[in-house]
Amino acid sequence: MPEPLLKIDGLTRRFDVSKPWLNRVIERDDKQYLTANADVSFEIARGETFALVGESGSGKSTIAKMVVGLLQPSAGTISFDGQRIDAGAGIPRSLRRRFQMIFQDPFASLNPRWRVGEIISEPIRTFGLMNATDARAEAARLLEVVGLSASDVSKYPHEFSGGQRQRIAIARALSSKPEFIVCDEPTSALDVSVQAQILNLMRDLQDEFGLTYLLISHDLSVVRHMATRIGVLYLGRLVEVAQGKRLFSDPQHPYTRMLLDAVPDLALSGRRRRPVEGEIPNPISPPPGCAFHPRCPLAFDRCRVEIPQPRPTPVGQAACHALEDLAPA
Amino acid sequence: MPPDSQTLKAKAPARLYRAWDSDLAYAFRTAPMAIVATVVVLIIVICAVFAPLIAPMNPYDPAGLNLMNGFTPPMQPNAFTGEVFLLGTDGQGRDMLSTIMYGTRTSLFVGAMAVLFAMVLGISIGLFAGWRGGWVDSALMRIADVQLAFPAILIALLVFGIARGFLPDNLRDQLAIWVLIVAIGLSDWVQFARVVRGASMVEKNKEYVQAARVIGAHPLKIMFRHILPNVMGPVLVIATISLALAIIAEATLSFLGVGVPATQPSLGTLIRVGQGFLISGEWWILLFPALTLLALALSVNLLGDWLRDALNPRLR
Amino acid sequence: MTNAMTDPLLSVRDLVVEFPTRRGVLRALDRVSFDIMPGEVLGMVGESGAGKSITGASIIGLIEPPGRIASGEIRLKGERIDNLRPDAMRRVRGRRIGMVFQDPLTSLNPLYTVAQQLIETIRTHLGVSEAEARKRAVALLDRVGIPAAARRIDDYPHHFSGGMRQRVVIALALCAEPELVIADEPTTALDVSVQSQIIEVLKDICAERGAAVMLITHDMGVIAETADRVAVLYAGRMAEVGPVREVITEALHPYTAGLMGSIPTLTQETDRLVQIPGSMPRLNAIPPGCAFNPRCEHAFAPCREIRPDLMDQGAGRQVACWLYDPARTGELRDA
Repeated sequence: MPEPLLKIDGLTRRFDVSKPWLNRVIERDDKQYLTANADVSFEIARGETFALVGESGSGKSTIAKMVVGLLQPSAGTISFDGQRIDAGAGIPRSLRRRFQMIFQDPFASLNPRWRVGEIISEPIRTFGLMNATDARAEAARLLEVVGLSASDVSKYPHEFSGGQRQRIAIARALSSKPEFIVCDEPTSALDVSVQAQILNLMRDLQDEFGLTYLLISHDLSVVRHMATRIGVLYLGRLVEVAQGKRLFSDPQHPYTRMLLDAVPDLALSGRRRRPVEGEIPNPISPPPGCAFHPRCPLAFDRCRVEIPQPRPTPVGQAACHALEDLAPA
Repeated sequence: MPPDSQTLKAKAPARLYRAWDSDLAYAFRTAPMAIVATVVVLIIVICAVFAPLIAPMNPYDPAGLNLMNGFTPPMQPNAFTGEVFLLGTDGQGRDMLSTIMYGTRTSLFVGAMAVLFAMVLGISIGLFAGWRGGWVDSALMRIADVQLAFPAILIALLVFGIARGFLPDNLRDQLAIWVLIVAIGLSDWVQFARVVRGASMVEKNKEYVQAARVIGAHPLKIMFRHILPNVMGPVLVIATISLALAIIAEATLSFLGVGVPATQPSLGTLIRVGQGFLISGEWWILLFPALTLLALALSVNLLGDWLRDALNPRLR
Repeated sequence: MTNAMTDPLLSVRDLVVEFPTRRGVLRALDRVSFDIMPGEVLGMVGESGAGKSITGASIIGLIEPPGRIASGEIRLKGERIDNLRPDAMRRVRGRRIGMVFQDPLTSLNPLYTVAQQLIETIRTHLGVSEAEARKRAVALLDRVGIPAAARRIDDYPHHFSGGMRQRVVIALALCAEPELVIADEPTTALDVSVQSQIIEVLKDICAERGAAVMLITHDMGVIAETADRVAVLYAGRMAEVGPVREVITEALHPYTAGLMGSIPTLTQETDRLVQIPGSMPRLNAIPPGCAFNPRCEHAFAPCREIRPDLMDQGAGRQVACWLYDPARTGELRDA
């Protein structure tokens, strides 16, 4: 079994959201912590697209930031190609070169004062891969690869539309020739027809350059189209992991089923939809035991007390007490 | 009729056309006040910068002085020598126009350098505080707050006094100008720091900064090459208004007698000297330097106001 | 003689909305026409810049100056409302047309309780007593699904979660009993699981009160589940109108067809999404003829020169495309 490219084990992240010290002293408040992620573990194999899907408060963006080193985990480990990368500023340059990130907002992810050529070649220059002239030529070449024109190298970001800016961001991500790209909601801010262009482009680039993707999204249809394996997050915990389309044909965890039920049916198949119960609880004070139990049709006593651990299912794994009786031997 | 955009494109170099056609240039072209203010400032600045070349005489060259020319009213032939001076002469026969040009030169130099000093200091502190956040930011901003509690002139006086106490006598006059610049600059850096700190905190969370952090760019590089260009807008506005204030601060200090040395009089010095002659009837010795100071400070101020409104994101 | 059942509730004819800029006049809407029948849900769909929000804003009279309605008519139950004076329009707004905006955080005044906002609106438009207004407000909040409505009505907006706030906004839009509700991206800022709840609430409560809904959104899934008819906008022009099922499963206009193909669904089996080449033209660079022609694989001679108007195709379907011109029955047409 080949070594996975990315291995996340027991990843936890807590934020201190307490009021300032003076306020706490005067109001006699305790410190408050928000657990954005708790005990998340998964692996990504080379060449696959692993998607993390969840609603607000699920902690999917936080995981993305921890993987690329923008945030420190409170506990747990992240290993890239067998080497630990969760040690803060201590990620060696040789490792940094091998992964990149694409962000959600095409209007904020490019420096408005820099020319497109400089933006795209920044990783090349920072890693010292080429001299300035070659870097500029490479930027022009990358623009063609992503479907823009080489002469756009001297323009400014505000001269481009949202979809074109996202292409520029993709070109920037490709410039240091990484193996692994974290895509944080890459098409959420784009129109549907532009999204189709970007998703197709991402697939083509993956085939051409052998890239591995970690795709973060709230859009289940996009995830179904792009991912080989999918992880479902609820309030910071991984509740289910399954193989691509099988998550949709055979969802195990009650939350996954509820989520799929909630997606509007474009195919107008007339499927019956169960009304969705409740809302996502406040992440600062989540319900005890399994965080989903107040909304779960299968909840019983154990769910209110004990946090379920992931167990194997026919399509992957799921963390649910109600499924234990059904787990294969 | 404005030139057709197509023909304009064909003639001018692309960059120049883009600058002319930009929203800022358009706002400038259509704001009469901005144009007038700029013209006034340009005239004054050109006269000041090229004073040695275009002034009728060098007012500080004792050889060129003729005491008999003293106290000549403007545009009237002197009773003894028959010479005519546009703005009159002062007590020692110096042509007022020339003294004002040289005085403005000193005033502008001190004002501009002081603002530059304040900018460099304020921007660096602001960037650093905004980037680090936490207790570093709190500490720096508290220092800034404390300083704001004191009037700028008092701080300038304080710095000036301390420096005079430390410097040996023979260097005092030579360094006086620089001490003055540092004094005014130190009284002024806070507003730059605050604006830059607030703006850089906003920019810090934007994704282009995060992208730079992902590739491991050095924090200094991120601060100065990524964040700084994006916070310069409000800084420029404050700089223009600061310039007006710095010129007035220098004039005030010189008026009080603690500013520039007597060998390099500025507009403030001229006003102080001229004040003594108001009662005795030689009104032109006070009025013209005062009017120049007024015109300069007002025009720079108006330009700053216009710039602030023009750079404000508005409905398109 | 007019028949109240078959006359449209809202009738928009040849609406033109312009924005003067220093580089010329931008046409955000270029002769848009459509009807909304009493009680029906009309979906208004389009991508960014197509003009769907502007349509809603112009109906309710909230276009930001210097933008203005340059020509055309908007009639509510036969009376013109596009040329009313501001005070007359204020009476229409709220009482006869309610509006649900996208962001529930900013469409409720954070300084007033929900009770104050509801009661003020009810009393302004219906002129009932304070006690009666409060009774109606509580009943309305209960109907939109706020638990313990009688107690929570005195809370401030920030005490509610996102989904709850949007329910309050829906209640606010309906409290004066309007005949038409314009909902501009009502679920875009909400989580997926909450979106379905809010759409249900909106649909049910409007059906109950016989209010028609103009649902503006870029999300075709929401339209598929909620709307009776759908209108597709492109570059400020209407591309296609028709019953929802027909337009989605058998789109006539090439743009609509491309749009449908580019949306990933939970059930499709194709590996590649349909990709319409190019992008929607900027409003100051709309090509002559049909606005979609540079990107259309079926474009032929008239498309590049003459702009097609909406043409009737029977069964309530209209499409603005020369491929479906009834006068050109002999021309080459694609299925």
